[in-house]
Order: sequence, then C-alpha cells, then structure tokens
Amino acid sequence: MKALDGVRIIDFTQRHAGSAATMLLADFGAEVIKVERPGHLDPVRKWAPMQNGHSVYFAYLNRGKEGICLDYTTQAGRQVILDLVKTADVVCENLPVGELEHWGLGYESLKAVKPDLIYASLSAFGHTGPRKDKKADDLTIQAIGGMMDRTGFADGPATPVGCRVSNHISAAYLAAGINLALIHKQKTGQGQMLDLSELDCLFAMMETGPWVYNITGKVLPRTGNSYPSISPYDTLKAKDGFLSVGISTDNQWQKFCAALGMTELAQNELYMTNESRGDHYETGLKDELEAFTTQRGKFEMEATLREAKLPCAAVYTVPDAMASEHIAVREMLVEVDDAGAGRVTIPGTTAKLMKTPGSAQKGAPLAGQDTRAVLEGIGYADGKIDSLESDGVICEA
Amino acid sequence: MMKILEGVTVVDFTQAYSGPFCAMQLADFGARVIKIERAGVGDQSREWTPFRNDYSGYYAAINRNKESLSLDISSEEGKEIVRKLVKDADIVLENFKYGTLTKMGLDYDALKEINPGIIFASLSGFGQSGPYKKLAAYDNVVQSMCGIMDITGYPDGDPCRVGPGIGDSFTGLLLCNGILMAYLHKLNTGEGQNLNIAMLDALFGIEENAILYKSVLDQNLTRMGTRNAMFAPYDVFTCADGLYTIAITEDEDFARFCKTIGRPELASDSRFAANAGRLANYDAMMVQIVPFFTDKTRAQLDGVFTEAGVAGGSVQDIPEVVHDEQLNARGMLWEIDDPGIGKYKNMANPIKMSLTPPALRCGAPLLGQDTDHILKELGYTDQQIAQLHEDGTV
Repeated sequence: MKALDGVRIIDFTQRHAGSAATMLLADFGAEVIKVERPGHLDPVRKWAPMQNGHSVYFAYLNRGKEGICLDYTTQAGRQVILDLVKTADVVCENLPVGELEHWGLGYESLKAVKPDLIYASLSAFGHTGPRKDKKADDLTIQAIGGMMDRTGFADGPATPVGCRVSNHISAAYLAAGINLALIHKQKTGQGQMLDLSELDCLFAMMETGPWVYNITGKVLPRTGNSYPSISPYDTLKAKDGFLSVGISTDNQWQKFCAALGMTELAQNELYMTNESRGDHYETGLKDELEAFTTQRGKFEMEATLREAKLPCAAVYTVPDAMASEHIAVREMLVEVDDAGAGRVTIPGTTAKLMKTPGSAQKGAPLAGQDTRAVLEGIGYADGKIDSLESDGVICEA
Repeated sequence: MMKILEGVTVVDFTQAYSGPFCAMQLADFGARVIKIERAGVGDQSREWTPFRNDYSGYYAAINRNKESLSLDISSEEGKEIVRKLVKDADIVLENFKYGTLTKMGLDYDALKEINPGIIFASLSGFGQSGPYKKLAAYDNVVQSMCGIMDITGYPDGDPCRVGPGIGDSFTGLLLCNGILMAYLHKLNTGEGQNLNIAMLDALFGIEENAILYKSVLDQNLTRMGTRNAMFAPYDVFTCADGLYTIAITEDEDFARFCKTIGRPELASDSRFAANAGRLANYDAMMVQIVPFFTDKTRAQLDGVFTEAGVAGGSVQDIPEVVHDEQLNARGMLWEIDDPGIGKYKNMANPIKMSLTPPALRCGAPLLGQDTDHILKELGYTDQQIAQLHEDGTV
C-alpha cells in the first residue's frame, strides 16, 4: 500500500523542478498523468545521457508517471482537460506565468469544473512581483538567491554548486505544499491554489548569510571548507585526493595527531587549544598538516581516523559513492525498465517509510503512451478517441 | 486564516539544524511543536552564532512557532512525561545518534504501545540502516561522502562544500514530506508508522547528472567550475561590477541570445547552432560572446536579457539578496519579535497557499519557557511541578 494511493495528479510540468516534485509524489503512489502537447514535448526528452535514442534523464525525472499527448490549445483539447480535471485531485504546472490561463486552464477556470481542486504552480519567481515574467534556470536562481555567493574559497570567486540544487529544493517545497493541500482537503473538502517561486524556496534555505546580516549587519566571507570557530575543520590534500576532518576539541586534536603519527605537531604549544589552532590555521597549521596528509591515501587515513572515533571522511567521487555499500543497502540506486531507454539505473527514493514505502516501479512514459487508456478510463468511447486522434487533438505513442 | 495542521501535536526531540528545520515547516502550518530540550542545557544551537542580547540568532531563526519543554529524559519521571505527551500526540521527531532512544525505552517499538497510530520520524546522517548508521553526522563528512564536494569547484582547484547547510535543511524538508504523507495515510486508514531519512541519501539523490553519466556512459564527471557538462552556454561571465550568469538549454534560446548581444550570425554558425556543437567548440564560442559582458554592469545586462526573455541573472551578495525587490514583493521576509534576540527579519516559509498560508505566531521559545503549562495540561499539580523543578527533571 502506498501513502498517496488514490490521488490523481494532472501534470503539466516540464523540464526539471516541477517534474521532480511530481516524481516524488509518483514514487509514493500518486497517479501522475503527464500532459504533453504534440510538437511541444517536454524538452528533457532530449537531455543527455541518451540510451537507445531516448533520454535517461527523462526516464529518471518521469519514472512511474503515465503520459498523454494532447493539444490543449484547441477547444476540443481543452474540453478533454476539463473532463480529466473532473476526476483529479491536483493540477500541477510550472509553465511560464499566465500560459495555462491564456488557454483557459488557469485555476479559476478549472475550479469551476472541480471546486475542490488543488492547483499547484511553480515558477522561477512566482505569480506576483516585478520579476514574475523573467526567465530562469537553476544556475540563474543559484546566482540571484545567493547560493553562489556563499559557496567557494576565501581567495576565489562565487562558485556554482555542481548539480541542480535550486531545482531540487523547489521540487521538495512544491511536493510538501501539495501534501499539505491534500491533508487540508481530506479534513475540510476544500481545494486551493499554490503559488511557489524557486527564488523564494532557495532563499528559505540560505542559512547563516541572511541571519548574520539581518541580526548583526555583518557580511560573512566565503570560507571554503573550513569553519572559522572550529579548527582543524577542513578538507586537506591527500596523496590520491582529499580528506575532510572535523576536529573540534583539544582531546580530539591529540588523538588526531597520534593516529597520523604527527608527534611534533601534538607537542607544539602553538596548536594546543582550539582557539590558537584557529588563529594559526591559515598561517602555518594547514601547511604542516598537509605535509603529512599528502603522503597517505584518503581511504587509508579515513579508516585510521575512524578507528580512533574521529569525525572524518575521504572526499568521494560520485562513482565512489555509487559503488558504496551504504548506497546499496539504502536502495539509493534502482534499476527500472523504461519504455524508451530500456533498462536504466537511476537514483532511488530518499525518505524511507516503513509501512507505505516509496519506490520507482517503472520508467517514464513515451509521449502519448497512455492517451487512449486514460481517456477510456474517464468514459470516452473508442470512436470519440479515434476522431480526436484523426483531428490531431490527441496523439498516441 | 485556517491552519492545516491545527490540532496536530509533534513531540520534537531534535537539535541543531536539520531536525528543527523539518519541525519548523510543520509549525509554520499550525502544528503544535513541543520541543523537548535537555534540562538546563537546551538545544545545542543555542550556542551558535550570531548572537544578540546573549541569545543565539541561529537558534531563533529555525525554532519560531514552537514551544519548549525542558526535560531530563534519562530520568524515570522524565520518561513518564514523554509517554504522557506521546499518548495524545500525532508525530514524534528525533535526530539523535543511532540507538539513543532505544536505550532509553522511548523508540518507535516502545511508543507505539502507548499510541498505536503514532508517526515516528528519525533523521540522521546515514539513516537507520547500513554500515554507517552509527557514524556521527558532521556536515563536511556527509558532503564529502556523497560526492557533492567532488563535483563543486574548479578543475584545477580543491573540491568545495556547498556553503549553506543543505545537507541539513534539504534532508529536513524531504523528511517533512515523508511525515506529511504518513499523516495523510493515517487520516485515511488510522495506521501510523515509522520513517527515517539519511542526509547522505538526500544529497546523493540530487546529483543525478553525475550519476546518470556514470551509469549510462561510464563517464566520471567531476568539478567543472562554472561550466556544465550538458549545456552551453550555461556559465558565469565576468562583467564590469561583478558576475552575471546565462543559462541556455535550447537552441532557439541561443538564437535569441545571439540576437540580443548583437551577434545573430553566431546562431547559424555550424559550430554553434546546436548544443552539441557549442559544447564541442566551447572555447571558440566563448571568445565570441564574452566581450559583450565585460564592459557592462550587472544591472545593464539584466535589463537587456530580462527584456529579451533570455535566462540571465546577477550573482548577488547577501545584502543584495536580502534587499532584493522580488523577494520583498513576495513577502519573503518575516519581521519576528523574538523573546531572546528581539526584533529581526527572517526568511519566511515559501509555500504560498491561497486558503491556508503559513503563519508566524511567535518567535523561538526560551529554554523551558512552556514547561509549566505543558505539565499542567498533562495533569501535574503545582506541587508536583515544583518538585520536578527541584529534582532537575525539568
């Protein structure tokens, strides 16, 4: 049994953030019906890497969903959407602000046919405000929202995070908003409209930068991998990569030096206390540490320090992490059969619910793969479906 | 305004950033979050900068809308208070080291005897299963082990951690989703359950570009600075007064970009017309487009690209972000009057809902602020409460 069994979502999302939200909900049992327009299919169908001529990125983001292909810019196509919405709990979309409204598929129009509908919109900047129509992608939001400013080294520039972190943050907030709305509907029978902005969502997770500025007026500098108040808390060069350590007490410092055979360092008056280690970190201590760590392998040091119960980790590459026992036990890589790409290995479901677990059961739909089945499901006769198809209003895979 | 989670009670054992951030989402939507803090000591984040009036702004910023019960849960009487609270609660939230609550007889197996429908949620660095479940979760340890540091930074530089602690906050938000879905399931069926999440998994799960390049193409992606393995131009440009980003993923957007920078012929240049060509001829392409940026300010560039419908954005520093006109127009700064640090502005909850918006009720509680009235609700007399204070149980 899945937590969202019985929840039907009409999904207009394209590209990344919106589709990642409906992906999470599909993993937990929601029936997600992805709507694409002929000639305007989801651009992710062309995103690398490709396998058998189909995008595995698309297979990942849209796993577990059904796919219909429908020109909702026509009167007939719009009516199909209205008929679908009558059977749905949620409409989810992240199209340019005003686009669905332009086609008569905005919240007010759909609420008229389904009063308790939950209409969940995600956009880069929201449906209100001076920049609501500005175009953006993940990097744009990382820049404007300050994520880049807070990432990087003191002697280097603002740095982008190497994955679509802003999109994923928005996706998680959008999914939470839909879950909250579902709870409210369960309790009261009321639907409502959600208007989420990717910039708002990223800002909410910016942590200390805004807090320090708002409370003290200070502007925090970038500090790379180190923390100003704990020393040594940093990422050090190893022979074959890098090692991160988090030594926060003087007792740990002594154990750390002993474990790596750094006896002189342990006895050095200059480094006896956390405060003095911090004072001398950039002006000598870091170099002295790296003189030792560059002689040894990252995983070897990780093992040695872990035996001494010291907080540390080698810097793993993504393939290192993929191959780890932890990722296997936690089922964070799963194999599914995708109708287009074939057998693919994709990230799994993160939150582990014991009675109603989430899972990726199958890959993503081909464009229009489920058009006929979905329309039959809402009572359309074969003849009607055939004529919609010959009129070019719908298409099947 | 109605509150979705009105009447929902959360018994919250969490500390630091991740757990309290998760609990704050529930509190923002009306849940009653009772923070159980170690008697006399409190949440460790009460020691974290920035400070004002000798109170922690860090603690204040993520504990709004909650109540504080100061409690020694290692004592028998303390455990009894927990059991009484759980009996009428809906959710228990914890981020202790693996096994802590089991040792105390307060884990899911124990608490579901008292309240079969309880939803018990655990957040930790590595989850409740796997070879690392007992490993302490430090932010740099988790970021190191998931691969996100390796893919962030410059090719000729060191791996770099993500500045803001998303290992904590993003994991907290995903767990919140899990809790909400478990709660929905309980509304529909009466059945509670336990759930858990690992910070390592949460961060691993968002690196799909590197994961898929490895699983499909056997390519080992590592840090690329400001560049992107999949799209071009998707990059950061130095301009007159800072940095400006362009994010183009479609060929027709590249054509629009070229027109905007006064170089329409680049879009029909066989080297650059298609994304694959732009990636293959990256340096040659950049030579042609970089000059447009160097002599213009971010404001000038943003004006031009916003008007043209090209995905462009200024790299803003924190003061610029806090004063950003769009964020302020969206009401994304809440003015909070906190009992500890006084008046300050904090990031609002971004989940905007037409009928049941998130709401600010109060600042973060002082340590043990709500102890007495919570104990009274549980049926303790004034005398018993006084004794509990004297014994150090509360």
